[in-house]
Amino acid sequence: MRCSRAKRLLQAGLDHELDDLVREELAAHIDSCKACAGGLLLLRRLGSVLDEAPQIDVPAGFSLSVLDRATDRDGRSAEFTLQPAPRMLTWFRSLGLMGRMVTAAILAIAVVGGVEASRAVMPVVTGTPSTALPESSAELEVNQLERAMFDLVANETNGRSGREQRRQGGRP
Amino acid sequence: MSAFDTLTAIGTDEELVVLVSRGDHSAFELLVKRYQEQALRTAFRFVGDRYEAEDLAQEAFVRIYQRAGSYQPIASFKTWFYQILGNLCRDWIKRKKPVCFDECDDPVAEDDPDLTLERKQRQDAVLRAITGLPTNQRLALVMCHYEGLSYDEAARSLSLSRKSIESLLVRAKRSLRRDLAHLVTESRD
Repeated sequence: MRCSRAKRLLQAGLDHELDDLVREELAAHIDSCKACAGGLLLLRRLGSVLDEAPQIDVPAGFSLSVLDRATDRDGRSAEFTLQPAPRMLTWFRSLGLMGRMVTAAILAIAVVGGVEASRAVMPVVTGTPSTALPESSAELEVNQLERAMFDLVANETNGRSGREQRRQGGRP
Repeated sequence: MSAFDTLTAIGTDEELVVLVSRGDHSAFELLVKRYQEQALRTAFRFVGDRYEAEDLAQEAFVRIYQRAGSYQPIASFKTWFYQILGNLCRDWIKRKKPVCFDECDDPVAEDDPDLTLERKQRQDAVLRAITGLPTNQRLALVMCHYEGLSYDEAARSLSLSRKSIESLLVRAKRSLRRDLAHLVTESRD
């Protein structure tokens, strides 16, 4: 190894940033070269001198100041972010994908079952449009609820796959 | 066990950022507590002024809070954190006011006032030499020498190549050896 290369590598050697082979070459060179050995000594001394740089203490309340500044700037006050979503929705979101699907299926079965059961116990009235309306309205509500649940699950699934794609292709 | 204690026990930095992106203030506070010393040290050794350093460090955390939603855990949080802080330091240089070198805190009192004065002078000299370096040399030095980042981590944080980091450090140390020659020559291993 030549001195010019050794001088370039001394700092990386001190920082443990050389691979084994280069480090051994450098060590062998330093053993046989007083100039480079002197350069290494000076770098070590410089490192010690740099360690005398003054310290800075974390001021009291620093993290709270940061939090205040972040939430003020963001326009998201603590009250706002802590505003609870509807409790059922929060619980539903906290479930995993499978949990959501199972819950949606159970709810759908329960609602459909309930409607069917109420239909079974209700007196059968036929022939007038006005009596047919509550039945179709209930079915409509069930359909809407089912659709909303499955949309939520589907959106979550799409969102996950989108995130995974970005993770594979994107940069921080 | 409080929610904060639970986070302390289980939260990796990357997990905490995800929670921050959902508006979790406890997770954010924990991240700040984990990195506040690094942030302040890095900023202080870069700008040489306590109050500017506090401002920069705070701003770095604000940006982390604001951008938590866009964080992709491909890179470690540590790299992302130093990337944000490094960019803020570069911006600070561009809008830098006339240099107003901060006096260091009084070092720990020693019995001998001469020793105390001498130590303070040495600290001032070191800080002045560091803050006199060009921007990228200064950032590379602060991150690698003081904060212990590997060359690869520093390269990612500063959007430079590993070779550039090596070169910046060699040049920084050469300048510092010259500027601090009086301290280096009297220093002993």
